[in-house]
Amino acid sequence: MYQYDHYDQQIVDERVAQFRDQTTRFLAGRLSEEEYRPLRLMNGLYIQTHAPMLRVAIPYGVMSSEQLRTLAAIARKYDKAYGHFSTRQNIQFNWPELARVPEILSELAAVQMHAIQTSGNCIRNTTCDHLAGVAPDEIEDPRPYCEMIRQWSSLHPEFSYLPRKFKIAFSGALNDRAAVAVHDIGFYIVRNEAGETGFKVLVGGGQGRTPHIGTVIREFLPIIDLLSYTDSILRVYNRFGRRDNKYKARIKILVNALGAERFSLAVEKEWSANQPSQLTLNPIDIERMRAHFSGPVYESRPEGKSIHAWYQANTAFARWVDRNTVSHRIAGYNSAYISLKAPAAAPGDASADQMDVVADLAEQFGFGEIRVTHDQNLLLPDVARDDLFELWQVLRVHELATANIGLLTDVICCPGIDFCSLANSSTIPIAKQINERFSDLDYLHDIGELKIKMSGCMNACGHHHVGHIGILGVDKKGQEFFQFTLGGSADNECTLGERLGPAIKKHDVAGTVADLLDVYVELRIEDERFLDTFRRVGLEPFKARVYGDKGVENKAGARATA
Amino acid sequence: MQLLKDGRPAIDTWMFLQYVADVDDGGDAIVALQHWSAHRETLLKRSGRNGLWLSSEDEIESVAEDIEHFAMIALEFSASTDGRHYSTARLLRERYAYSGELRASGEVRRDQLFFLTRCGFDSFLLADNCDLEDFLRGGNDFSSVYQYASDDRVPVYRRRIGTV
Repeated sequence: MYQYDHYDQQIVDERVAQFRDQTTRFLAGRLSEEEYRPLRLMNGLYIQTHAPMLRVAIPYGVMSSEQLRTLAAIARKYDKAYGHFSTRQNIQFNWPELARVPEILSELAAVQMHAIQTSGNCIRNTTCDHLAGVAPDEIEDPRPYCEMIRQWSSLHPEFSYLPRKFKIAFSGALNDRAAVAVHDIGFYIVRNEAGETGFKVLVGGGQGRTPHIGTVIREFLPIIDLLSYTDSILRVYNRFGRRDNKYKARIKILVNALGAERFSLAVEKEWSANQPSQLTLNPIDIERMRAHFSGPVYESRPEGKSIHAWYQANTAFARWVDRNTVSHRIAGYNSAYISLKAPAAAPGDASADQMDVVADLAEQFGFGEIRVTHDQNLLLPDVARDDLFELWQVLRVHELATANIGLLTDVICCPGIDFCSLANSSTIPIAKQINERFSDLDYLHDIGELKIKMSGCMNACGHHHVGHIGILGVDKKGQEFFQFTLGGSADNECTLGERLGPAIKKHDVAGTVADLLDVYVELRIEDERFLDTFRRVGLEPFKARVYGDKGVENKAGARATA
Repeated sequence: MQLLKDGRPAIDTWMFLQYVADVDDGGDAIVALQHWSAHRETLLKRSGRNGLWLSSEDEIESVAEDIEHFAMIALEFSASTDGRHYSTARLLRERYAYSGELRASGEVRRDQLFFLTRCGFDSFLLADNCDLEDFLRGGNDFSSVYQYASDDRVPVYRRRIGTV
């Protein structure tokens, strides 16, 4: 993984000093609340329901064992001994004390971590395929480009006061595991006819209250133009994105208003005017960055017989292998998911003790590297298949071996009203309700791949628009209701969910999921996933089951007033 | 108001002309974009220097042909969070090769100074109660950078060359 040199370290250290000074001035009354706000946000610090919430960047979801141990130590020392992994592959601490945040930042800086631009109207943490560098379907490892973007976007003098937040994602594989099409800029690594790699560039995707799927504005961008082209997109957005209404300020609104073609022309014009650009990458820029990710040297680890024996003998282990491990580009290895969706856990939360365990396991069964997935789970990228049984046994002791990756209890879920001051509704209790209702493992495995994604407000941090089943919390006269959408997907064939009908009462959410699944089980053909069945049969059968034969409006009216 | 220019307190010699265009006392006169467009010919005949003031909404392209006539350009920040003029400043310095005074006015604060300077601003019009010494400290927040901008700093990835 990327290692800081003295320049990187100096910049991060100076950022800590700068933030310490800003916070001191604020606490001394020399910076007003209004002046301090954008400054603290640009460093991942929110003022939340209970206390400030600090979001720490995990660049493109990659961290070392040492870094994870530091996060655990911070959770113990400054927080309530747990952290929440987010859909931007970051971690959030919910209970730090404002005056001590600079101390936290300096502990982070000591292990090459920071909270730079994890919030605010600036370029956020770049996200990436969590299987980057190890996936068998990979065209090229996207991490070097993520790191280039991380550096280029950090403390950018021109783009630190954008109209709104700005999110960039990369995928270098055939299968999109990074929800690339719902980002402000999405980069897919592709190969052209000459066999060279470059980027397919999408712009204007996003979730929030006006979800959009990104539009392709360049089919093939040469690698050397990555920074110069991104710079041009940002300049067009910085200058012409709306600033009069924060709900219309994301780049998707600008792309939509101009039309993709005119937007693309504006970018190309800006880009041409800057040529020749200092930002054009030299071969050495690319080589040096790639060298950071040349990866570990894999020992040959042929599969022993024991893995097969355990697989045959132990159903729980077999289930975990089937669900929570995936193939690796190196024979004899797997990548293993660590589910943070145990039945009783808040989705995405990990205790400090669990973090320490994972950090140790990553060293014991890997190269000391851990990934965070945008589905709010962790991943050990390089586990020899022969070690899987031993790994599983340790994970099980620490409630980290729930065999539910990609299943209906692997819910993406924002923190909701229990923690977030923006939320309209709770989400964690709903995840719990779903977990209690669907505790039968055989049933879960029979239902198969199903992505439930839940947000506690329109901001869509829980990605509900792209959930196979999306659940959005809404407030109706002080009561929590839940709006269902069906058929969303953040995969290569990205779709936004369709609204099922009127919002459902809180205690009916899991029951409604059960109704939807009954329809699916009745209508599915062979191995069809829920999403495929939905795409084939459409909304109507699901709607009819949930709202009944009396007609949608009557039933909904009855529910809403009940 | 107080003016900082090239890192030092300075006297503001610029008079803002709002309603008339024929003031010609040999002094420095600055006008808003609309005023410039309406009275361009008259203003060009003045013996004193001309300056241009742009609101957050104004786009520099509309006076692209005239930039050589200005000895000073002031860019207004209607809010400290409105970042449009960081781009305007870079365009002026890098695309239009503007070398005159580039002034930031409006909601300009210490914590923006590093970025403003990097984008080419060299003068700052500040509120009377602004502590100038404190303000100037903002310019020293970072000793290395990750980007090219309008200053002569070289991003660290290019400084690493030769040290692979």
